[in-house]
Amino acid sequence: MNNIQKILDLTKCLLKESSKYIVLCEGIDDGLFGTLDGISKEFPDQSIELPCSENASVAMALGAASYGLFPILCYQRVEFALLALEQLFNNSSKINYLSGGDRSNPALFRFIVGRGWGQGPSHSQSLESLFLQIPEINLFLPVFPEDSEFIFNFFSSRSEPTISLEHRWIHYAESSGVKVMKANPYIIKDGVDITIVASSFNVLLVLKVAQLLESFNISVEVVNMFCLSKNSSKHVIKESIEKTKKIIFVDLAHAWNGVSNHCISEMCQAGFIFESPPIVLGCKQSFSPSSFRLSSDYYLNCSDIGDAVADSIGLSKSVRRDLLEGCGTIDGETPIDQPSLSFNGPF
Amino acid sequence: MSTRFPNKFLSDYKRIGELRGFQEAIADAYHLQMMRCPVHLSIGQEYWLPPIQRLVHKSVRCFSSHRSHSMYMALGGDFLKMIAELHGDEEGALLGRGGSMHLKDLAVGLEHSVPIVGSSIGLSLGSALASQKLNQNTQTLAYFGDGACEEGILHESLNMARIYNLPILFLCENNMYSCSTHIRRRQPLSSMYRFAHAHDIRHDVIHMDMNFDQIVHKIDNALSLSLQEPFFLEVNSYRLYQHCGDSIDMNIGDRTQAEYEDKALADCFVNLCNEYSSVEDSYLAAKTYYSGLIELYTSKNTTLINS
Repeated sequence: MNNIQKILDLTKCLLKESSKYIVLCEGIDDGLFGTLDGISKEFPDQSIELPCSENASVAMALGAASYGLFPILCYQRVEFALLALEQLFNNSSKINYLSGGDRSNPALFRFIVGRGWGQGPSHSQSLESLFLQIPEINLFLPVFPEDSEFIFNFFSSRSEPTISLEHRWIHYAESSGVKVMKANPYIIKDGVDITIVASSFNVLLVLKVAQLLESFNISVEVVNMFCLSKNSSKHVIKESIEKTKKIIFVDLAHAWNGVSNHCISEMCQAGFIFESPPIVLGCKQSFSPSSFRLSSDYYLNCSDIGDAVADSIGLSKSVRRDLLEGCGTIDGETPIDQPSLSFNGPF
Repeated sequence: MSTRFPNKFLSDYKRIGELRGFQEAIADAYHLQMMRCPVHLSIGQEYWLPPIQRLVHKSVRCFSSHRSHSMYMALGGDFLKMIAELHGDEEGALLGRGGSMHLKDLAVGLEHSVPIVGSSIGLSLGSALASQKLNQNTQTLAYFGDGACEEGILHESLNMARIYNLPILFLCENNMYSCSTHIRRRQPLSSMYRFAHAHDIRHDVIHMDMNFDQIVHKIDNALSLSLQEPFFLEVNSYRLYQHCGDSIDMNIGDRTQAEYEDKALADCFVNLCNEYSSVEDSYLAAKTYYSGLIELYTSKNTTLINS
């Protein structure tokens, strides 16, 4: 079961469980890439079609969550939520703070991050470091159906709102077999030679490289930076690097002022000393170009990650060459602007 | 006997006097610098508040703007807790976390005051939606000013309230000024109910010089109808003090002395005092009483600051 089916099932399950759960979306009948397929027909009283009024819609969800409803509000692209930053920054958890803890607002905001197939500079931004600036908010970047399951079971029990930055391409991710227990980063693959911390779609990319590296007798430990909330524990990263001594962070967005640099800063401030300098990878340009011909100038691929591993470990020229040849083969399997060959666009 | 202020509403008139006395007690002590937060007074704007308190549904959720003293007073919020809040005291209505601009008293239904113009209007939609979906039998009030009518969220909210038929009263107080800027420099027309009309929402308008009977009737009607569907009530008023603080800004911004003097003559409180001595008695008693309470907090803060 991939994430599309899983999210659909989770949504239906909540809507069946209680009429307090409601789903709000612009174009709800279109099914939000399959994740809301048929919801508005099956649950008409709990489905709300939104006009193009993002700020008031987010405000309505925040308000409704204080008075007994559990809203799940979805935007087709995270950039639309930028029109609602006023509410997310000015209200959200501040409501409860100013009410002395008497007005919690457990709402789930699903904001989709686009990529490829011409999404271009206004439909494919990764803005997690921006949302991290909102105090007391839960922030997730799901990858696997297990991540989605955790988020859907988590948000309604919280006093603060939850934002899930859902990369469009993780919709096709299949089960990892790893049950998510806590709102923390977690290890998705064990290893001993090097740690790679990645988030969202890049976790899938890193896992491909890690699999290839097994044939070079290099064992990669992969951490899924699934939760970015302020209070999430970075303990798993610290433990991993104590074992492997080497670490690469892979940001979904640009690396500057990003979540990886923040994580490194947090670890340094906690007294952790990196034995070898951490490497941080991120998108390679300021803006994501629309044309598939230009996509590789912006997005990381397996070769970029393989190159960084070679640098970190200090691989010989010949091994590096072989590794990059393998990475290149993986990169060539799917056009860089498609999650899979079966993807036909347009969003 | 004037027909404009029939004596059957004497309790409302006395309350108007009390609210003026309370606000002036705050204004008079503000220069002492012990209420260390921006204070947006509603002196001159009290005339329509007592009928709201009397007629509003017993279960109400109100969402206010920065000029939050009005709704705090209209819903019968605890004045002692408000004074404490203005002084940053932990016994304050928000434990000292919000000050004047974020006033709330959950016990009487003042849910939020958000000092970002228009911001709380969207939250009120959520209250109305919850009320509708969960059959909560609760009244939702969205209180804002003419300045908020220049914000996109007001128009988004009116549209959404109408398409979802939310039970909500949009309570727009048009005092003609946004800070010191007159409405004529901000909007092409001076009426705010035109926005309700544009969104096919039923609406009404109150002017300060109307007969009080008529004012009460319009408020009652708006409160009743908005239990079932969105309703927009524009209340016209005039602020006699500056946007924020304790001064009378007769010559600041767009305000002219002639306009000010004209509006001051129309002040309901002054006119009520001319007709009912008990209104002035309420005013004086409230001013003395609350000035005394404020003194206690002034003294407490002075000690803290000087220690």
